[in-house]
Amino acid sequence: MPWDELDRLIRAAVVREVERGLPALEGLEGRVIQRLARPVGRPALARRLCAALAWPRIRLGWALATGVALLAVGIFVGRVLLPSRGTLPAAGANLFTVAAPGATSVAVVGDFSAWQPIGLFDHDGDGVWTVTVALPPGRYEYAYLVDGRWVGQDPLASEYVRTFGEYVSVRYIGGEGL
Amino acid sequence: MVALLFVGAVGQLLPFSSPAPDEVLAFLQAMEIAPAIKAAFSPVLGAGLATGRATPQVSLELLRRLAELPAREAEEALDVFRRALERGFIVDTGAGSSLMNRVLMRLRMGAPWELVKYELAARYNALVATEEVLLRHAVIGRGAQAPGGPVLPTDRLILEVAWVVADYQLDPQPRADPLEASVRVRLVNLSGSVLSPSIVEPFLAALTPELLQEIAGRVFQIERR
Repeated sequence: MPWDELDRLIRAAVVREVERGLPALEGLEGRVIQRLARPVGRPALARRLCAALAWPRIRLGWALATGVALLAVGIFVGRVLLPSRGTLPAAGANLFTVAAPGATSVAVVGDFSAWQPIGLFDHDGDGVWTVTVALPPGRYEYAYLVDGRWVGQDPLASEYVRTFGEYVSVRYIGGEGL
Repeated sequence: MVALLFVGAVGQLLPFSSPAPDEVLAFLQAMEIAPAIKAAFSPVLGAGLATGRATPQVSLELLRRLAELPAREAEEALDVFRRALERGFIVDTGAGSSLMNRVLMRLRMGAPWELVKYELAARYNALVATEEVLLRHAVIGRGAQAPGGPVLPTDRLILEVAWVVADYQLDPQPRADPLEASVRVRLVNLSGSVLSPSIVEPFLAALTPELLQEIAGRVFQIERR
């Protein structure tokens, strides 16, 4: 077959193919735009959960804030529901309580805490402040700090000691002094 | 979430971590006081911590508070504690009154340093006087041992008797109860807890007003030693 004849046949075939496809191409651009503008349907809940667990999207700020909030709630629950801690090994629980209506801060200081303040709480707002401290047997001198003021005479004390004109209360734990 | 809530809540119950003796001694070395004072106090404090004549918690707290004072005042206090520990006296019981806790109490009260120093010296003298008088009258068989020696059952007895005597001596107003009665009440109350009845009962049998007066009379006569 001569080259001229072959070229003619190819051209004719191409023309036929183009003419056959023209109807399908009509409105193609519009259909594509319509499809793109259509909202995508949400996948099923289970699929979304699986995706979230597989690729969690964590925002650092929110995660930190949530963690701090949960820790704060835990600390609050601990302070309200659980007895307080002392600096000494756990032993018998000893209640320290003082009536101080209107006070904004109450603490107990004593031999059992190296005279560092242990805060008391007034949970129900009735003016009675309390804290429980675990103390091993011994003799402890202590006082309350009510809004920073030294209150050395606890009505619940075993005895008082006065040196240089200032009182401290005494509590015996264990032994015959209990 | 649950873990965070648990940590927050149960954290309230956990005891404060007790410092190690090395931590106490390291703090002492870091204090801005005369090197000679540190060199003299460090080994006796170490021995005291090892034998139970002092506790790391109270010792460290005391050093922290002293570090906030002028160096001269801190050195004056440490010198008394050194002498007390060298004689084998208990300076911190861990469960009651002691020389270290008394200084912490006065500092908490905001007492002037001269008063703190005066009381510390008086209570140290009371320890010395109590031991010497009880030994002389053979009420106790042995005095407190050197700082590295064992703590004797009578060491706590000496501390408690000396404490009552000093309470009387340092009270500016006369007390209604006689000194002997107060000593008896103190020891009976502690019998069975921090003092063994086998120590308390023989002592109470030997206790007389004259014995206590002899101790009290020596509190302000003891020269520095």
